[in-house]
Amino acid sequence: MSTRRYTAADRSAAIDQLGDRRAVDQAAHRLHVAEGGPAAGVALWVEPLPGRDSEALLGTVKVAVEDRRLFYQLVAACAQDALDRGFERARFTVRDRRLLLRIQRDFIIEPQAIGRDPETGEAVEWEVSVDLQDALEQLEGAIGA
Amino acid sequence: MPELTVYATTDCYLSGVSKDTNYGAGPYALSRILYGGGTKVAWERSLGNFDVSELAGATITAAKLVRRVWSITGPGGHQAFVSRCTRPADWVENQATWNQYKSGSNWTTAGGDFDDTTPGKITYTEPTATGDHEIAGLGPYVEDALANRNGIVSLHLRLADEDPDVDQGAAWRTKEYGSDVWRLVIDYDDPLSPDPGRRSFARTTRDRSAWPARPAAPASGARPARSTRPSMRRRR
Repeated sequence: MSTRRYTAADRSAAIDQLGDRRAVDQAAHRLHVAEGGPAAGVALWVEPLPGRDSEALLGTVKVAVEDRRLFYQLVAACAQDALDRGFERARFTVRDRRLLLRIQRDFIIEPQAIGRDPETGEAVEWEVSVDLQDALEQLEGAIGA
Repeated sequence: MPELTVYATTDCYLSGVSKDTNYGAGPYALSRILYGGGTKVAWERSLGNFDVSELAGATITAAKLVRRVWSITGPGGHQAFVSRCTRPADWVENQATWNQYKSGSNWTTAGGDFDDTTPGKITYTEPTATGDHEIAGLGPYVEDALANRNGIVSLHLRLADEDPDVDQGAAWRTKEYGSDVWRLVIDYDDPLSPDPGRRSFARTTRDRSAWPARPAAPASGARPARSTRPSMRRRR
């Protein structure tokens, strides 16, 4: 399954999938959906105001069934869109160690621990900043694998 | 008019989404609401302490907070607040969370305790472009800190509307970033000294090991530097 740009006709299904109209009805939120529509999969990235250090922010990615290839295709669509909009870098937040390890199995990334359990000092939240061109190449490799 | 720049010595942000997570190691602070699906996916407030005790005895004429805003969520131009954090000496940078000011000790009100009246809360407008952004009107905060808080200006920053229904936010650099650190710039008169530049910098207990090196000493014949404290810069 491939992906396509979100259109107004997808709104209702996108709201259903994301659970919140505020995730859909914002000019700075750019959505991409599975070819079959948002019910099959949807991803959004947030476009900040441009600036010297400004980075695109990858937001929610949801797929209806466990389909890693579609998941990565949606992320790749966001990355390409951000590149096309003039961004060179993007970042995303991971709050699940298992998810982080899974991402690290497929990609070369440099997560930075930004959130810690204050009792133990253990990292519980990571931020990953990526070069979009590099990320896109890695994603294409993972999708094709 | 002499001027003193005081960088944040302690800073972190608090997350209303991850209420038991500490973000003291983050290279930025922010006040932000972000909607991603189902609920807010980000909701942050920030804390920063600034030690102005070197100005004891001085007359404060003005002060401003300068932040290097590097990311703006939404269109910018939204309103936000600066208030006095009421636990300036209590909150711990690597322990504070939305729920607790240090491990085992809850804020009186989750999200950080603050006072909007002494000194009065400052309402400011976030910028619509990244770069240095100044918030004026911090003079009363410095005066209050010198008079009542052992010289610690403790600031609590948050959005004016934390249910805006659209993304809003700004992020700025903290001391962990290593440069462009947020800072207070204070104008003052010093009635105790004919040369304000001679105010002693000798007293310090803070650990500044994480700070970038201060520029090299001036060449031979130049006046020697009075201080090796990289957290403060004074301009006459």
